[in-house]
Amino acid sequence: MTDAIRIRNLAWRAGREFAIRDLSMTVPTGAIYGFLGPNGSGKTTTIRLALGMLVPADGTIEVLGHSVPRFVHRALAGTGYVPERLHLYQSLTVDESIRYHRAFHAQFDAAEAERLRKRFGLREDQLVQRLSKGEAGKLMMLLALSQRAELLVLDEPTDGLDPVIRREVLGALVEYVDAKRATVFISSHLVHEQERICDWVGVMDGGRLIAELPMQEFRSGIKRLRVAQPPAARDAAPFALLSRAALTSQAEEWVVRGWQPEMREWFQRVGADVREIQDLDLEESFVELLRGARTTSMEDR
Amino acid sequence: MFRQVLYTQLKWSRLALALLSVLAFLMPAGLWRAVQGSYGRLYPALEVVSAFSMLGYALALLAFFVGFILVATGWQADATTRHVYALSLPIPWSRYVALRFGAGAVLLAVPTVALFLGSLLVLSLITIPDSLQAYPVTLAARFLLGSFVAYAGVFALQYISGKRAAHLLLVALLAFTLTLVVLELLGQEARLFAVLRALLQPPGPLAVFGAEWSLIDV
Repeated sequence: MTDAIRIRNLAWRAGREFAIRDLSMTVPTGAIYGFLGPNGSGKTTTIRLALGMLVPADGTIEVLGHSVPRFVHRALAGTGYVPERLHLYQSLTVDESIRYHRAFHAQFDAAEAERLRKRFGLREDQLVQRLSKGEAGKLMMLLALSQRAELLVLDEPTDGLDPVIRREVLGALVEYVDAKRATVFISSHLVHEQERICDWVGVMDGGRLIAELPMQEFRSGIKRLRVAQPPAARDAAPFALLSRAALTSQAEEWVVRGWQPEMREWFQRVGADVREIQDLDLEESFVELLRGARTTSMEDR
Repeated sequence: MFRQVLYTQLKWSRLALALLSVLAFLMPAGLWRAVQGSYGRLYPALEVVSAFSMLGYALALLAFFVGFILVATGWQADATTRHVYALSLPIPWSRYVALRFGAGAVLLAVPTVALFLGSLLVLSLITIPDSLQAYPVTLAARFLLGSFVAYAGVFALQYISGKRAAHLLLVALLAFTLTLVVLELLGQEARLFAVLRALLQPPGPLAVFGAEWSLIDV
């Protein structure tokens, strides 16, 4: 089976300020892929490139096996999209929006749309422009789920929603994924939310993908070590050093990625000793990963 | 699919379309009333032709507005969402543009029918000299063609050339018109007039606006 999204060597530039550089990523079919990154890191731009709304300067994009942007309409036929901001026509009512959306999607399930409308408490005659942020988010999710898509691309779908609505929206999403075995590509900077539902994670920063790995590996592979007699150089280290900071003249704190228990031996070989190993929660891991990537980027310059 | 696009186009433009249609309906009778003052009297043929030639200029302007408004209302709805929704629909952009174009074009019929009915109304109120003929169908057809040309032109600028190109062209058109006015005031004959003539006279693309639009003629 092909990957749901496959991007290779993608490049795109907006003026002098921002660029996507040499971006390669793979979203496996059936995965719930959390796309993490700070604001302005390029998550929305990457999504818009993947959905053919922007044209890349270089690289290849395949969504559901269709080349984008050339055959983007075929890819979109199987893709439900919830953008970060309301994209529906303001002057239509909820019911009119559902009917309009249905006209363009052959697989649209009207009964499911009606069920979700009632579940989300949306009135048929409510104008889109009068919807609260939470209601607008629910309507966009309703449309994406009702089109029975095999891929859902959700750009900050719960950003700014209160916890009750967020839970409702995520609940509907999880039910859908369970029933349909759909692939979900969900962008967010809410790390804990991603931790609960995602099985893959990609981290963007400054237009680059700095990590892409299974969530389990992300959660357990980043550790904070207390190292006595640390070596000056870390040649041939079997892990990635994200950061190091002096604690005393004889000890340092290291944050490493890809940690395995047997890697203690490397420290012994270089005359150091690992005194303590701490687990990091996902948010700490995320922050350390960003810090490490930014340090490397500065050193490269 | 087309029905839904037509529905949205109608919803977005219904108020403007209703106003323009009422204007198109009332214009023949209203203009006659304003120029000649009375419906019952028999006027000389020359006065009748002259009054209705003024109606022609007003209708040409109205046709342009109808075309412009129908494009602007459709475009505005998409532009407020930066076209994200339209671009996320699973059809090629060219097809989406064709659907939007078709929906607006269908609605051009509404003010055209209003004009036709307004023409019939004024013809029932006035006495036409024996030497003259009434052309309500031809006038309505010309109005439809004129509004279609305006609609197609503005649509092409908005959807194909993009917003910036449309603005640039609008500025250029205004500058061109101003230059013409200034030259006219200075009594200067200029090549610009030749350009204008080439556009407005057959086989120019805007010839429909340059021709005589008369409800009553010889």
